[in-house]
Amino acid sequence: MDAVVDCAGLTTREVNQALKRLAAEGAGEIRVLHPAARHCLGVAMFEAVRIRFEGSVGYLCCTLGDGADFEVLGDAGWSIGADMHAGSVLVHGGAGTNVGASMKGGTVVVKGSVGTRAGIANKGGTIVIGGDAGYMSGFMYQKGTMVICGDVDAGIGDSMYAGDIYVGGDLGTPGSDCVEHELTDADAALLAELCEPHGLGPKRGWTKLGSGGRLHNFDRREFAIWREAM
Amino acid sequence: MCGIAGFLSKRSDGPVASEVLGRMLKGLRGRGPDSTGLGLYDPSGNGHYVVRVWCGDDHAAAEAAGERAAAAFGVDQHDFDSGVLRFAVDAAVPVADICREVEGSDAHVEVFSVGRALQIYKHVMDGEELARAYGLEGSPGRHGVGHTRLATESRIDVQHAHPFWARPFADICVVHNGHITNYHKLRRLYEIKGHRFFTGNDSELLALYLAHRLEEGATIREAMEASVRDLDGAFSYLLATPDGLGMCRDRVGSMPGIIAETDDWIAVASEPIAVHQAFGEAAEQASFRELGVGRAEMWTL
Amino acid sequence: MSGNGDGTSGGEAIAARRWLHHHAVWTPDVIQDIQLKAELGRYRYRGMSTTRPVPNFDDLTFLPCTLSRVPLEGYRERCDTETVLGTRFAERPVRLKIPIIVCGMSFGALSRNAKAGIGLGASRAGSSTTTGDGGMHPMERANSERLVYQICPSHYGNDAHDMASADAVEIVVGQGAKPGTGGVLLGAKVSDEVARMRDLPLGVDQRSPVRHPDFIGPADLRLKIEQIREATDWQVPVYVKIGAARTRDDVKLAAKAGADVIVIDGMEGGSAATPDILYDHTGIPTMAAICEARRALEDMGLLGEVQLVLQGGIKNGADVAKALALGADAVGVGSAVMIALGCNSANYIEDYHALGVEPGHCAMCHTGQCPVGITTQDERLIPRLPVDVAAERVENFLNALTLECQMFARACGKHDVHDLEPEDLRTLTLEASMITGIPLVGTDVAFGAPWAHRMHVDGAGHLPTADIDGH
Repeated sequence: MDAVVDCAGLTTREVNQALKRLAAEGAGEIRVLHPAARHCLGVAMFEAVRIRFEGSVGYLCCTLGDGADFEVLGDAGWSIGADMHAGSVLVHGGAGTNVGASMKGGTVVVKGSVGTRAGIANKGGTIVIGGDAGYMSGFMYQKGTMVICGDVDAGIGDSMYAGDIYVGGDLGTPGSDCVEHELTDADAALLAELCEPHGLGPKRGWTKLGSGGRLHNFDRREFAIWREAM
Repeated sequence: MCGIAGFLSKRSDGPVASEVLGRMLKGLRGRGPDSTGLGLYDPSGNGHYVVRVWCGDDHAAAEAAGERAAAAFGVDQHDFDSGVLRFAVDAAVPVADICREVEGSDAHVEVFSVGRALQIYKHVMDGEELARAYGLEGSPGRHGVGHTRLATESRIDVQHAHPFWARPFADICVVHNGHITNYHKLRRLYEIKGHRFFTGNDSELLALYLAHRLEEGATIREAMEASVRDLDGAFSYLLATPDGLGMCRDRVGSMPGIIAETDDWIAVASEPIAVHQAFGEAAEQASFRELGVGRAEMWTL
Repeated sequence: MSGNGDGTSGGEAIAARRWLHHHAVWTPDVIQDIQLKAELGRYRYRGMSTTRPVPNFDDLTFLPCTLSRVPLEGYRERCDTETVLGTRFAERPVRLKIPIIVCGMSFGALSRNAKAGIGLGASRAGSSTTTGDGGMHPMERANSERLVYQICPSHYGNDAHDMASADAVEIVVGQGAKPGTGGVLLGAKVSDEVARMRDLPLGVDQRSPVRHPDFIGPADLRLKIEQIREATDWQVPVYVKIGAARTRDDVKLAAKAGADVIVIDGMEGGSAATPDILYDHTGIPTMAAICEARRALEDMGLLGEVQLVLQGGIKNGADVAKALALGADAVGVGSAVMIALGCNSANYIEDYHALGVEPGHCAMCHTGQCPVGITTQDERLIPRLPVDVAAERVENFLNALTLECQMFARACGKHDVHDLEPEDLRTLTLEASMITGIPLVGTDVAFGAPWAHRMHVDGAGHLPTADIDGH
């Protein structure tokens, strides 16, 4: 069943109510026309439904989801996929700051480049970025997998607790307590599995990053590193 | 707090900046309900300076300012529209002299802009009302900047609205989103040097800071790059000149700034929705990216 | 040893004299603080709240009815306490029976028994409770009739389903104990369950960020509020909680961003773990904060449309009544509820000693070794506070506060506690008068400065005097 919602002339509330109603009625796939970079579209969608935005979306779209699969044909603004528990988001263009912020589960894929703080506070989600990522990406990262095929700006993985970040291009100046970990065969297989279906791959070669563990429990002898973290 | 927007047409027969910016500001209205402003560059001037002077509702103050301009510079005609006195002056006159004579000792009279091309329009109203109040429909020009304001700490009135002119540099203005946290410290230093501030708005200081850098011989880009080092806080801003515009973000990128580009134009703004509001479906063909943190970029006509 | 007590000897050297110097700067507390830091190499953490006396509600007194006004008969004549929060935009505002709510305190900081007891007791009293950092524990929703769901900067345990099940959602911008700073939970309290809820490794020192990960700044707050409304289909109120600092500006921005309710947490606000130095040197007192907040809403014409909840050191019904008089629609209690549960009570005294403190002087919440079983995840300590005991104490305390507040209202001639006004008060100190704009006792001059609450005064700043004919 093909359902269509045209954002033109509707309030954000009306768009979201339409999406929820169509999903509840059993629509397998919903096309959303003229999103025009508007904010807060597709918030808290729990139903197993596919929603395709035929254009660009604004801030905080496709957030708080638990089961819906989203596709954005254009670009996304800030915080795409933030606080997701399950489901997916696929952005064909680029995205802004805070991609996948505080996700707990599910997958966000952005084929283009993204702004600062990608994967901030990740709590178990999977993020794949085809292009470059900006400053402080992976800040206060807790759990989960983030793959950045291109270059990263300064501060990658700053103050990470745990979890895995893979970078395919330049590492810039890594963040506080973010260190290189050994890349295993299992990692290579995972990277192929996440990237190849979207035609993505590393700009140069893969580096695996993780927590150095020095910020886990305060130790005054490690003052130099704590000074930045506290 | 605030939305900023800038537009530059790469072609001389492209969309008109005043109209594009009007639509961009409509898209940013959510970021700034308190006041709106535009800095427009009209390339068709005759070489004179156009001077715009804020007098508020005070017709007597406007009359007096007009008389001072007539006496000092031989200005023989002026108009007074929605609180602004406007007249033309020979561009040989030093800008600082124009300000001193026109403002006199009246604290409520403030020169909003001086420029061969630049005119600043700002008021406590939305973009559409602003365009009607000052007859901006059809204003020619290939580039300009705009602003919607959400007051954080300073007052809501016309003088606190953006753009801020980088006095005493003709034709240069700034629109700003964010908060400069060493504002008071820097303001005291400038006041010691004899500068007069008209508002409590930190954006006024940003304009003054950039003007100073330019006075010391920095290029536009160098001035913006220096600001990243010298100003503290969270900020994204646009600096406009007769030749183009520049954009700058602070070192940690707390305030947003995107760049949208096609073969025909550059549009910069706080949020992509501004560009989509201005161009509709055509916006989907533009390439969008965020300005890197701590960076400054420029585009020229 | 003989001596004259001033370093000299000789003369009439009798038994050794003592000469104890009472340093002004280098007090015993300061000496201990410096020497501990010399061992520790970082700032010290503790629980509770500021140790510094600041201008507060005790500097105000009520002017009950005597001859010039008619008092209400206590216990018999009606004095309403119903309170509604969230009328601005929500379809289902929160309806309370009393003007008191229980502030956000995290499961993690508090034990499960404490949280369950608070939920049950507050529900019986007609109040609401609030989750804290770390998300909603299923037990909290089950035990509380009106539950406010907090979204803290850490987003630990942030769950859209929990949000949809809550009666209100509170976006935490900051906390009164430490405005402008993030939080912390030391490794000893990051138990299995806490680690799982927060997606953290076991036993690490958990550092909470000061900013939310998905939005930055006041312009984006409006979008965050919109997102919450979309996630809850506009049904429930959105609260914004602010640590009191630049309160007048912050309240204006939160109102512009679309908040239904603004929660102000003053300098005296509590915490389970905050750097010691921050409590005493950040934020403004609760009494000053409500005056700024009320003035901000007046300036915007939103008084009565946006509700204010005031928290931070509220300790008795007099504070409740004074907060309402100064413009709060409700007050929040946190530390007082913990004390009602038994915090700092003289039980298990050896365990207080083991922590290096005495009952009545303990602020060791951050260690997770709470002798009375409140702020702990230790299975040995949790049973010291049974759920039913906790519930009864909380219900009793909230009821007592309500009765006290009603007493003040009746004495001032009010049928509804929300009719208390600043004009029912006078101040006992000059500072309180300048902060609140309320006259000092014995005078009729309002000293109010630009921030002060507006009183009805004549041109010379004088209050109207009573009119014998019964005005």
